[in-house]
Amino acid sequence: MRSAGLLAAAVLVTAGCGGGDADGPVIISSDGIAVLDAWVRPTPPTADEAAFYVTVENRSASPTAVIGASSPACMVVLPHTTTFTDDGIASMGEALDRELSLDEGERVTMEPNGLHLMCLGLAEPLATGSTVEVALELSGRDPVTVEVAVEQR
Amino acid sequence: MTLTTPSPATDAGSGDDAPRPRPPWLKLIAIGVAGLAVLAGAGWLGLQWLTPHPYSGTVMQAPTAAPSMDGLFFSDGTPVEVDEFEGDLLLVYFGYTACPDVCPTTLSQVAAARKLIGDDGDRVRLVMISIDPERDALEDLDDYVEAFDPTFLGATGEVEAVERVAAQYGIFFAKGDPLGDGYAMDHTATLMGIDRDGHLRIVWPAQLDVERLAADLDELL
Repeated sequence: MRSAGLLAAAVLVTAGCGGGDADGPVIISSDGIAVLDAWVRPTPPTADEAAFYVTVENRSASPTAVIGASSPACMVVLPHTTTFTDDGIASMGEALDRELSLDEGERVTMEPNGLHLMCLGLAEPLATGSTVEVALELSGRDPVTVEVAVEQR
Repeated sequence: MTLTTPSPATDAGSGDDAPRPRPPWLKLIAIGVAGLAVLAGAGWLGLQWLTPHPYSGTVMQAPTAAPSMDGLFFSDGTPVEVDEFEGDLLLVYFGYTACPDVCPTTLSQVAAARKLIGDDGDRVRLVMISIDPERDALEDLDDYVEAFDPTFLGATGEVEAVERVAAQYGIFFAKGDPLGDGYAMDHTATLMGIDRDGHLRIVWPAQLDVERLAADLDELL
């Protein structure tokens, strides 16, 4: 399976702290990709979807971009963005390339009502206190796997 | 508390001279300071009273009775009557359960705001009206909203009824981008507040701040 392969290839250099704190890195990969915050809300029993929020920072000397993601907890994970019209109408669609590009020193911040990793086909409800493995696919480098904390925020 | 009183011995040498009178300006200063403190206190209270609460939503200048929700039903099958919530502050949100980002965000924030205002939060009610009745089974709606707060209620109806009610509340919705096997919904993601007299009073944008929302709810109660 593709996602299993990605997970196997994933770089896992832990930096402790298990997510949740907005500033403490969840992970820094060997090629300079830091994930500073990775969380998802617990999901209602009926939910088939979830939104992962992560902040990715490029601490390396070359540009990259988030090009996709996968998780054993979801059938599909898609970088998505919510946009609002002036009248407050929310629409959700695929994130634009420029929203996901990471030049040297740049950061992609995913947060509620904006950029997120949309999980479709949730295998089971996400419970507060647990974690979900999510692999971020990056252009030109190895995927980075992070433990996303399930938190009510 | 111990008070040090001047020893009588210190006055012994001065015979029966009256204690040296305090200079009159000392008394004036004392009165002045006390007066300023009282004025400042009164001023602060006055400001609190006179300054309108800075709502984080848009307050209706001329609130009118909240439009009827005829044709909408709660998960238990009873019709939704706005009047039944009189005396409570009723929040109305038009959302759908396959909504991973904005709906859970707003519902979580309302749940957090209710907790912030303590016992009075019990008088803040929320109904989420599903704008996706094709996929949202009425009986499943409560399971969805109760995951955020056990007091939240879910309601919906036939598509035509939902469209009619939504239009009266100024809510737009339509099927949006295809998503997986289904679709996302485009929808006005505002939160509406119906006050204790049943008037549509306030509309909040989706970009809520929990503490400001809590202060708004507290003010409206």
